[in-house]
Amino acid sequence: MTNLKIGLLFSTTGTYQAMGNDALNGVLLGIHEINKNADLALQIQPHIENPGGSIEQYLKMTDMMLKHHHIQHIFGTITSIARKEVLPVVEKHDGLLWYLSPYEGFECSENVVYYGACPNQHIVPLFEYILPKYGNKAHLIGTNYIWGWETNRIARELVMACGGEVLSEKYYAFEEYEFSRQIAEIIQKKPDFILNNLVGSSSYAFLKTLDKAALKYPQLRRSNLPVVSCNMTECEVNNIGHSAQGLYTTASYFQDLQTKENNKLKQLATDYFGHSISISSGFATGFSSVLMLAEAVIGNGASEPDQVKKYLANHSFKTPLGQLTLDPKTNHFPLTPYISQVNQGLPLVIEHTVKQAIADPYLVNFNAHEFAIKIANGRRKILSDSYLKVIK
Amino acid sequence: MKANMTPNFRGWNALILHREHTNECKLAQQLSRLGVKSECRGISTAINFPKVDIIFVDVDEGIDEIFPWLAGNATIPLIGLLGSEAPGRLAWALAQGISSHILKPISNNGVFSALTIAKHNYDQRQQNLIDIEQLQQRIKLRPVVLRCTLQLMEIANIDDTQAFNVIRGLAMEKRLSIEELCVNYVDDSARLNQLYQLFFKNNNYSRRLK
Repeated sequence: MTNLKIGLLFSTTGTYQAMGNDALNGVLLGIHEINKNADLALQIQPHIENPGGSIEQYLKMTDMMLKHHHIQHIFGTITSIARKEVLPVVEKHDGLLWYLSPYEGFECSENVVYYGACPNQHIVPLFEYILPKYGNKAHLIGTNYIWGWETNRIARELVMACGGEVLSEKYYAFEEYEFSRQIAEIIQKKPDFILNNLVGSSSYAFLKTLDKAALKYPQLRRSNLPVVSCNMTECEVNNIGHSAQGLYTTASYFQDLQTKENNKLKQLATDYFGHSISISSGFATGFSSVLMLAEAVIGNGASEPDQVKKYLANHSFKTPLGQLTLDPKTNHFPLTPYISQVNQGLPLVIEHTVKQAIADPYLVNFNAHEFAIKIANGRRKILSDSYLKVIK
Repeated sequence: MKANMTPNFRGWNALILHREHTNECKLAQQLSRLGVKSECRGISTAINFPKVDIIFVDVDEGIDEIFPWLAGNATIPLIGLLGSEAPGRLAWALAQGISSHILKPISNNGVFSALTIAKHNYDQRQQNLIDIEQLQQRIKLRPVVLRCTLQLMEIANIDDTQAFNVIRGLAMEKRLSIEELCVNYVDDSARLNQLYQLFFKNNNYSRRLK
């Protein structure tokens, strides 16, 4: 019997605790699935740490896991600041970080399994859907760190590529809750849509302020001014309540997915937690990554990061996110981008599905001209499908 | 506002001048992730220098003779691969005119930024060279501008400031530099007079001079 100790590094308190708890629960369910199966020659022992959103704690805890507990596999970090902070230590000790969140790309470490979407799997497909539908005058808002900066930079590039305009771009600290000046600017500049890259409680406050202002200014209603996001998930939508209504978001997993694997996951989660819970992409990736690790360790008879990565690259896994094989070129998974909307009290109903996309973390294969053509064609199609037609 | 475009090296060819080593393998792997094809050669092979977009050179073992150009005259961006930080080796790298560097051991981190910085620095340096060349040409033509100003002062019976204003105004109208205009009209008082009359007519000269 192999006993494998893995590190779980999620902030289950602090400003983005909803995402931390969601991913941790997914990983714990995955561990439970492995450990309950007496036929498997593997038991997984979790070593759980909660950095509480503090960067210093992330580094300290990772160091302890690798150096003192001799853990090779760490699941966690939600934000890119935290990932960038722990990465040098993980590389130094040749560990493997299982990163589950969508991120801004431009990274390719040998010591990370990237299970979250990168820009060609989130912002690009999201904009391919949103721009033809609503227009290309954007208002960009984000939390003041690399995720917001870089995702908004790509957003600006996409908008400019098709002749659009960024009317405003603003950044706020993690726990900023005062957005009245921002709302005034939105009323004055009249964007076609808002890209919200705020993270955690600050994001919920922005949506609530916007909703409150919409009572007086109908142009701010979600039906008139869509708010789109690359990082809003089911686990947060419940916290936001009514203000989440109409929100568009992209992810490579939604609870709404009607597949055999997803139905199984939802059933397992209900059985494990004793009641139906909200499941997000962090939960699904957390759950399935533990199963993949277990299969690789059993298959290889070894848990060394290099061998585990090789196994992931040579085998196909049935997951709630689809049939997946790790791309050894980038250490990312090919993912299917979905675009969902919060609709009539139901959290995040899938509206649009894009073909599974190989991760392109450096946007090597992105072509601005082709993107612009796609948007123009999309716009033309929407106009031709409309009941109102211009007849010469 | 111009969008801050994503640097893209798709389709580039790189030459890695480094002995076979894990450093060189890691570099080639990371380059392929960025859409860059690479060829690796040992440091001593200088013959049949291939046509590439960028060169990564091992500063620890580099010698002048590996390049088909004189030190400091590279026609493409160079990126130094630095292990030793000995001042002599750094001096060699600087003499080659490297546009950026990567510290060894090479990891996946740093290659994209080294390429981006190298391209930016190299392009800027080339532009600076063009600008310096143009400015030197203009400095050389100072005496011509002076002579032309003096001739115009005499023809139009105006002072030096007024004459220079006319020359500058004419240069702007004709979309020429002041020096180019002066080269065309100096020592030709008939043409200079004609030009001055035209300027006078077009620009309500008397009012402008005041």
